[in-house]
Amino acid sequence: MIHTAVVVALIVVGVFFLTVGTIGLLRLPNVYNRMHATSKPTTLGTAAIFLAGFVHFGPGERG
Amino acid sequence: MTEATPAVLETAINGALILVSGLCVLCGYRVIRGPTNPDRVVALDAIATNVVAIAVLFALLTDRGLFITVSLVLAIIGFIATVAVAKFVTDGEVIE
Repeated sequence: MIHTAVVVALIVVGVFFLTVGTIGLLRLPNVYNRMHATSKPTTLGTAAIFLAGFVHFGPGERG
Repeated sequence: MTEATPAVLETAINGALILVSGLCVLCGYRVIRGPTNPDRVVALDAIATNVVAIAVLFALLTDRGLFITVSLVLAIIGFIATVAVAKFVTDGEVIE
């Protein structure tokens, strides 16, 4: 129960950051603003989705 | 997919997969219509990040830990590709 809730919360956080980064990539005016916008999902969004995978699989025999 | 995955988790992962796939299509707009070449490099880097997230979500959906390894290798190859394209944009050639 708590396991599922933690995994779903981390997935929601990761997908939120990926969405914000893509909106910034589409709407900001020049190259440097777009690089600034896409550096956030690279660190925060993907890290949150990887943490969801770590919570789901655990430090066991796989993963 | 397996019976160990609860219905809520499966619904959340399916929604996240559909949403991140749509974000890849939206990044493809910037790849095609980007005004300059550095715009395309940044958009391709964003697509590589989204594909890494798709691989992790697919590993969660199918309960196969092998796809975590797939996502890590995709992250490494995306980094190398971004470095190569950036070197091509600045210098005009990759290996002199």
